[in-house]
Amino acid sequence: VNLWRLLHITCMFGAVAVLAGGGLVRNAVLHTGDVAAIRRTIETEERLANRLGAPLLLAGIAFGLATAVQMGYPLLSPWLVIAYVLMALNILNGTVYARHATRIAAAAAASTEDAPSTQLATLIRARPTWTLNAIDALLWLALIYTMVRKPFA
Amino acid sequence: VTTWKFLHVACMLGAFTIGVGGGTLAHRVVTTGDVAAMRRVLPTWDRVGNLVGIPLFILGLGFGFVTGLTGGFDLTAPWLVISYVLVAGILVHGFAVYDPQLQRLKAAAAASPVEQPSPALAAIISSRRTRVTFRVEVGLWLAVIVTMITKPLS
Repeated sequence: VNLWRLLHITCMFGAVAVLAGGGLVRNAVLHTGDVAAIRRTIETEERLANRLGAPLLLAGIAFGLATAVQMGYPLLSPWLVIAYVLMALNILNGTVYARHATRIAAAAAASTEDAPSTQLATLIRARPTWTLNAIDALLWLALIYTMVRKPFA
Repeated sequence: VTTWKFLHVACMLGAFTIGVGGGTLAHRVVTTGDVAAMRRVLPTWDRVGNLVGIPLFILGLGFGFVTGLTGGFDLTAPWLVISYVLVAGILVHGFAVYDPQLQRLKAAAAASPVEQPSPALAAIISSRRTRVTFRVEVGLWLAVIVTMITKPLS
């Protein structure tokens, strides 16, 4: 049993589940327009992402590098470089999304509970809310493809 | 073979993300006791699971079999039999135990006052069943992932 590979894949599955799964449900809740629910959901999702999702992602990346070293893959082989670029883009996308979520959380905190304020409603309808989610999903798919297919290996 | 394997892994990761990732958020919201949030998060997660998660799971299983057939795997190999049992466990536990508990939570949240959980809702939130069913579901998923990676007894 390759322990590093097991830890790598398990941590990455966990990270994707917490970050992308939580984000998907949060986005769906945003579109209900229920301000009290939005406040609680964003707060809970951010805490989960920071305390569980991000540490799992970092551990998964580290275990991935350890797997590559242990299995004798050159760390600069093209498929691994593609994976590094995709992961960097994913982290960048996540950072942009986190900023957008912070703006939504601030607008939800300032909004009345009866109905979303104009600012909150605008942010919920804004393109980044779903576009960044879609980019996230595509980047994860590209990463899985790269890991399974190992192009140019 | 790699294309089928990619489709198998992608679909299963998608199902895991919705089932376990979305479920983790839903369960964390439940433990806050915030009725307004529960009323929105639980039905939303349930809907996403039914519309996207379950179809991805079924597709992932199908692509898994095609990967096994085209990749020359013995479909009765011990590690595959273990994974069949675990997948059956996810389905049986999911439909017979986990989903009914989720429906009870949803119904109690809908009937509860928003200000604070009703005694019925509070009892379900703090029940051992609510905590254990989610952990069993996550545990079964993790066991499938470990079996797929380590291929025990092969």
